[in-house]
Formats: sequence, structure tokens, C-alpha cells
Amino acid sequence: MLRFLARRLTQSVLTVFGVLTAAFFLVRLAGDPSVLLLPVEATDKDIALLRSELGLDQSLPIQYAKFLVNVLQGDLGLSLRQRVPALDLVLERLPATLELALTAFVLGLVLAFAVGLVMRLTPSPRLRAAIMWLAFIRQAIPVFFFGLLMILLFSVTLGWLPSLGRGTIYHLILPALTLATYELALYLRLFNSALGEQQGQDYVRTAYAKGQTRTKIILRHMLPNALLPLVTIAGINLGMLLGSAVVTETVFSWPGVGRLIVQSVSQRDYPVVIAGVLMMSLVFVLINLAVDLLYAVLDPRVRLS
Amino acid sequence: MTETAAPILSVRNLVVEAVGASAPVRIVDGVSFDVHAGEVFGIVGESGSGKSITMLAVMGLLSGRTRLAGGEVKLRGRSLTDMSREELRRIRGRHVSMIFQDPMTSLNPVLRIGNQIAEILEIHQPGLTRAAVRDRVIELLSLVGVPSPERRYRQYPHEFSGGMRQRAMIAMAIANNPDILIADEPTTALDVTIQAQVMELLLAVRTRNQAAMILITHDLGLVAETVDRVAVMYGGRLMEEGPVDEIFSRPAHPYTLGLMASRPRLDAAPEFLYSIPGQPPSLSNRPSGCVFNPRCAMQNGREICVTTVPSLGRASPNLQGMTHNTACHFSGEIEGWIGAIAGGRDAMRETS
Amino acid sequence: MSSATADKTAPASHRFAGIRNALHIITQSYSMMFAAALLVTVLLLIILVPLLPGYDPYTQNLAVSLAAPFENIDGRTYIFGTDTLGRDLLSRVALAGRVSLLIGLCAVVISLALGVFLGLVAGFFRGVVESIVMGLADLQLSIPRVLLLIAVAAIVGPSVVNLTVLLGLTSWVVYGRVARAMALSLREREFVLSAVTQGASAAWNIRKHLLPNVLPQMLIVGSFELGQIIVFEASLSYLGLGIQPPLPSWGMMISEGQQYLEIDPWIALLPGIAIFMLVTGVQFLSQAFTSEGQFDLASPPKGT
Repeated sequence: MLRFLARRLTQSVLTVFGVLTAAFFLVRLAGDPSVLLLPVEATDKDIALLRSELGLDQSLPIQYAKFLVNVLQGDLGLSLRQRVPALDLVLERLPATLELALTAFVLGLVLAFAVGLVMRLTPSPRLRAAIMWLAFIRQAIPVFFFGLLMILLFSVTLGWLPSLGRGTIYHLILPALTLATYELALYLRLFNSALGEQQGQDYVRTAYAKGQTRTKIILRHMLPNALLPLVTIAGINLGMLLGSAVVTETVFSWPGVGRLIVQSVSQRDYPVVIAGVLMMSLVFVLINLAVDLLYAVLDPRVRLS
Repeated sequence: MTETAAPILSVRNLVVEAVGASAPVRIVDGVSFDVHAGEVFGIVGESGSGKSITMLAVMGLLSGRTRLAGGEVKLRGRSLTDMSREELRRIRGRHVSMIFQDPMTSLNPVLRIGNQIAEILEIHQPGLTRAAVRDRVIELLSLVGVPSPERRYRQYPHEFSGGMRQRAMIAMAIANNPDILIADEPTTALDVTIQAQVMELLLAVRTRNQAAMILITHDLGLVAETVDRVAVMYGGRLMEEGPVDEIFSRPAHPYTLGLMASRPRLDAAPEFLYSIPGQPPSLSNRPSGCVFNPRCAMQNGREICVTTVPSLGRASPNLQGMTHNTACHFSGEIEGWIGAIAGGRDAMRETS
Repeated sequence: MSSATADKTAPASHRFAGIRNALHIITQSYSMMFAAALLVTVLLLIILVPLLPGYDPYTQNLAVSLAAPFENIDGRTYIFGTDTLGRDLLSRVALAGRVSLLIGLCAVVISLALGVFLGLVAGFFRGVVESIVMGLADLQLSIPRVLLLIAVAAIVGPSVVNLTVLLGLTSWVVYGRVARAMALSLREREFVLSAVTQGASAAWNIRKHLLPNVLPQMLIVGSFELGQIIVFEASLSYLGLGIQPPLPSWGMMISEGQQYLEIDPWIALLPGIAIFMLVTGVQFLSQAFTSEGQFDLASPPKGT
């Protein structure tokens, strides 16, 4: 288990460095970083200051080194609009994003699990087909449009739930549901095919040969095994989830990092954009790591390898 | 061993169909045999002969596209085929147990071995306390020769070796002292060096529990050493059944004869390895009449072999009260062939 | 996932067999026909509307702003109604569709070419080349795609060309993976080995042997990805980082419409429905090219 942990940690660290490097080159893609990272009315003195700080007059490796040092110290530049450290602005918004993303992630798995079980245990093939249909249709609707539809239905027409902002748990419901249902079709299909795959497995046959009941076989034998690919895919889809969260935050004016990034782009506040993107990548890597650990807990074969 | 007592398991005209895109295919086509209490009964045949499916059908474990399409199975006089699913479920694991071929895939990888064995106890003896169940499992594990059973109890299947996994499966199968133990190619998936050990264990356990055992295998050598009676299957039908010594020394069916002749002998040169000419039949397109007739050297163009399915009938008078049945129109002629083959083989040995 | 079209010894006429197969599968199931109907409808809209008289996506006329669908004002019926500036929604939805579809198709072509190339090269040459390519793939996957698109679009500026190239560059991985897997399995096959021993160069091998085997599957993946890319583009436009005015885009129309949900929901709904129809149609039909097609809902074993 420790070896597994160590291996994954190393991978994660390497990934983070990879992303940082990509960000480094990305900024220089547009030419002179001082153009991006300073406001229009910057004085020559400001420019010179930045240049020496970033080492722009020196060779690329040195620039890279300085960049890494700066990042690791938490220095990602100042917001052009608000003259405060970009990182601070991002950190301020981080809890909101995490709240939304994690709620949606868990909700998504729980829904998939519950609906999947219903599908499996119900004797009605029509119900099964209807559920899969709905899930498919849901997936063809872009996240932001679905959010809009939710707002139209629950806020505008029914007036049950608020459509903007963050505050009470009622504010969380619509955005989280919007995010959670997106991957439902995929999870359901996976869950079903995983369970279906289990069906033909020899150990399921052994369980029947032991005289076990169908319900217990599904719950005790097939389910734990079927969960494994589900968790794997959920982890892989985390990227989609975080990306969708960025868009969803804008739909519901949810004050998270995603919305901050979008606003900053239109305001050309690039230090904040970069800080936000880096932070989201870090979150992504960490959550992936957590999902892998969860997988190790569920599958003893991984644990002991 | 007499058979004056009623058989513990009686199978009559069992038919198993596989439902496909076109007409259903009869994988097992009218198989009948009896198994007596305490005896070791072997079912031999090539792959595709239907031997495994027959026993799966008996236990009600057919899945997917296969289904029981006819016949009757009786356990101690009670009809299994007429039973409800629930009643059948209660018999599985309690009165009839089955051990499968590949212990790696037959055990659930994410559950501990101890729990999996405990499960069969919990299902059929719900009154037992947790402690009692655990004790019994550990007792079973040591019975089957798993060292350090208390430690092994908590381990997962992938931490066991192949032979040990099969031992665990055996422990599971005998946990409730079943009347019949069905072993489907129990050693085929194991290392050659382990096969004998596991087989020995299986037989020892069976004897200890005084259960009947049905051994399904393609290994004639294994059959010769371990079973009392054997049934030979081919193309989904029963060719011959009888006491093992009889079948081996005086087979009453050309297919059995062919099988015996194909066994490699240590004293014969390999180039004289005999094999029955032709291929096993396609089950969706069975030859009419006797299913073996296209490959039968004895057929000699005789019509009846192609037009009429031979019924299972007496091959020889009762020997010590045991029957020897065969499904061949001309079983009487086989003696001559046996002599010819034995002579031919001797002749070959002399010239090599 | 195998189908007749993946048979490696198939002659070129097999491609048409694939289409015939697809038509057969489509007509066999209601969901397929429904999807095909959606796709055809939206395509007709996109293709035909700009050819009609009265097509006018740009003219503003505040006097008729926020008209409802089918509302008749001054003798002119606005089938989809108008937006806040009085522009005809039907025309705008159609034009936006053309833009999105065009961007989507081009992006798919770019990503397919790039992905197949990188994948085949990685699978064929292995070693360092493979490590680099897979490393790039992993890196790209370690950041959520939308974020990557936002960041790069922000820095290089959102123009139609930039957007297309960007979408193309970020979508190659899925093709790359499949191509690499195919290359890995095929390179050991006899016909490749014999070509190698006959002295054929790597490029020739890739082109002649690996490519024809890989392409059919790619088309299936590509048609599915088309839907994904259209959604990404719409999302970017919704955020204001995609297609810029004066060109209309479905995403931006939805964003503008969101403010008027209570007064006139159609401004936001119609483009959204259009996206749904196009994406559903494309993605369902991509499945028609595989040998699957329906959801598989296994039933419990008999007799248990």
C-alpha cells in the first residue's frame, strides 16, 4: 500500500510540474509576458521591475527557475484590476468551487448508484429503457443550457429555488444537480455493463451454486466488483466535472474560481487567469489522487501489489 | 457394491437447448443415468460433448441462452425439475455441491476467503453464531490442508496459490455435508504437480463425508484410477455407461473403443498414436441416427446407423449386480474389434 | 467494438457496406430514427434558411424587439421571434449553426489527423517517441479541457480560426490512443513484418497497412467527437470567449437570452434546442456505425 501511495504521489508531483511548465510556455506564447502581466498604464519603471523579477532579460532556463521559485512561494503576480496578489483572489474563491464540485461528484455517484440499482432490480424493462433514455438525452444537452433549463423551470416558472449566488443550501441544489446529472448517462451505462459483465463471471456462478439468493448475490458479490470500473471512470471524468463546474459557476453566478477566471479573461486580468487555471489543475490532480486511493481501498488486489 | 438400493440421483432424458438466432440447438439430447449413494461416478467426453452442461442443468445453474427443455431429474426421489426456484436454491450448497474448473475466477476477488466459505454456512445454517461459523470455517480449512488457517481466513483469493484456492473451493463444497459432490474438471486448471494432491484430497474428503461424487473430466487416466462407474458422452448424448473396469477392458461402444485406443501408451512409439478419424459433430447439425456414425469404423455402410438413434440398452449380463449399458446397434461386434486392435498393436510393437 | 468495417482484408467497397449497414440499423430502431430525424431537421434548418428570401441575421429593428415565435408584426411573421435588438432569430440560429458546424467539422479533421499521426507513430516506433507522445497526452489530460481552452483562447485571442485550431489541437488524444493501440497490435502481424523484411520504410508501412485499419474506427470516434466539440465551442461562446460578434453563435445567444428568461425565454431556448438536436443526432448516429446501437441491459440468468 505504501509503495502504491508513493508511486502515485510522485506521479502527481510530476504532473503538477508539467502543468506549471506548460503555463510558463503558454504565457510566453503571446510574446512578451510583460504585455500580459501588467496593466496598460504601467510605467517604464513597472515594466523594468517585472522584467527583472521574471528574469526576462536572462536566458530561458533561468526564467523558468525564477518562475518555479515564484510559484512555489505563492507569488503569481498581482491582479491587474485589484492590485492584490492573484493567488489571494483565487484562494478566496476556492471553497465555493470545492463545495460545488465535491457535492456534485458525490451526488453524481450516489444518483448513479441508486438509479443503477433500481434499474437492475426492477422487473420492468420499460422502466429501464425509459431511465436510460432520459440519461442519454441529458447528456446531449450542454451543461450550461441544462442549467438554464433548470433555472427556467425551478426559479422562473415554479419559483421554488433561487437562481443565483451562494448562501443557503437551496442555492447549492440547482448548480449541483446540473453538474451531477451530466455524467449520469455514462455512469449508468457503465454500471449496467459492469453489472452485466459480472453476470457471466464464474464467481457469480459459484455463489448461485452455493444456494445464495439473487438479491444477496447482486449486493454482496456483483456490486463491489461493479463499483471498481465506476470509480475509475468517475475519476477520469473529474476533468469534465471541473471543467463543467467552470461553466456552471457562470450560469448560476456561483462565486467560485471558475467564474473568477471567466471574468478575469474578459477583463484581461491575466495574472488571475493563470493563477486560477493553475489552482484548478492542482485541485484536479489532488482529487485524482484521492480517487486512486479510494480505488485501492475498494480493490484489495491493488493494495497488495 | 450393489445397486439394489434406489439411486440417489436419477436423470432421465435430459434435454438442454441453447436458444440462438435461428432454431434452438440441443446441446444435451436425451441423457439418462443414475448415481448411487456413496459411489464415484465419472462422466467423460471431449469438450463440447455436453458433460458440464448436463450437471449444470441438474443443479439449475443454466444461464444466458441455455435452458432445460425436457427430461426429469430426481434427487432421493424428489423431482428437481418440478421444483420451484426457491426450493432448488435451498438444495444447492446443502445437498448438492459443485466445484468448478478454475478456482481463480470461481472465487470473488474482492471478498476474503474466510467470508466466502462462511457464506455457504450462513445460507444453509442460519442458526449458527458468528463465532461458530468462524470456527467451522477454520476447521474446514485445516481439513483440506490449508496451513495456518486462522491467518488464511482473512486473506484474499489472489493471495492463495492455485492449488490452495481449489482446496478452499473444496472446503466450501463440503461445508454442509452434501449428499452429492459434483466436480467439474477440478484439477484441469492446476499445475500438473498439484493435480494429484488435490485429487487425493477430493477423494479423501468424499470418503470421509460418505457423499456420492460425480467427476466430470476428459482425462481417461484419472477416470480409470478414481471412479466406480463411468458414463461416456459424445455429441450431447450418452454412448455407454457402466463399471469402470468393464468399460476400460471390454468397451461396448465403438466410440469408447476409439477413446481407449487413442490413449498414448508408454511402450508404443509415438508415431503409432491412434486417433479417431474425423471431427466431433456440430450440435446444430447433428448427424441423423447415431450421432457417432460418421466416424464409426464399424458402421460399414449399414443403414440403421444413419436412420435410427440407438437406445441405451444392456451391453452384457449383470456383473455383480451392476449394469453396463450401451447405445449402439451392433455392440455385440465390438469384441472382435478389441481383439483386432490389441493384436495390431502387438504387431506394431514387434516391428518397431 | 468491432464491425464489418474493421475487417482488415476488406476492399474499399466495404466502406459502402458500412453505410448500408448504418442505414439498416437506423431504420430498425425508433431511437435511431428519432435521432436521424433530429439531425436532418437541424441540418435542413442550417443549410436552407440562409438561402431563403427574408434571411437577415444582422439588421436591428428595436420596434420589433422581443417578438415571440410566430408573432406577426406589420405583416411579417417572425417564425422564431426576435431578440432584444429586433434581429430575426431564425436567421441568427441558422447562421450560428453554420458557423458551429463548420468549426466543428474542421476541428474534427485537424484533431483526427493529428491524433492518428501521433498515435500511429507512437505505436509503431515505440521507445522515446512513444513516451513523448503519451507524455503529451497525459499532460493534456491533466488539465480540464474547458480550462485549457479558456486559458489559451484568452491569450491568443478568440477568432474563428484560432478557435478551430485550438479545438482541433486539444482533441487529438482520443484518436491518438486508439491509433496507438491499433498500431501496437498490428505491427506484430505478419503482413507488417513481411513488409518490414522486404525493406519497406516505416512511412510506407504506416500509410499502407496501419492507416486503412485505423480509419474506420476513427470515423466512428470522430462523429461522436463532433458532438463534443460543438458543445465545447458553444460553452466557450456562452462564456464570451468563443465566437465574437457580429457573428452570431448559439452559445452567446443563450447567454444573452438568459437575462430575459422571464420576459422572453425563446431567445435562449431556441439556440439551445438547436444544439441539442445537432449533438444528439450526431452522437446517436455515430453509434449506428458500430455494431452496437442499443443500450445493453443484461437480464439475470435463467433458472436461478
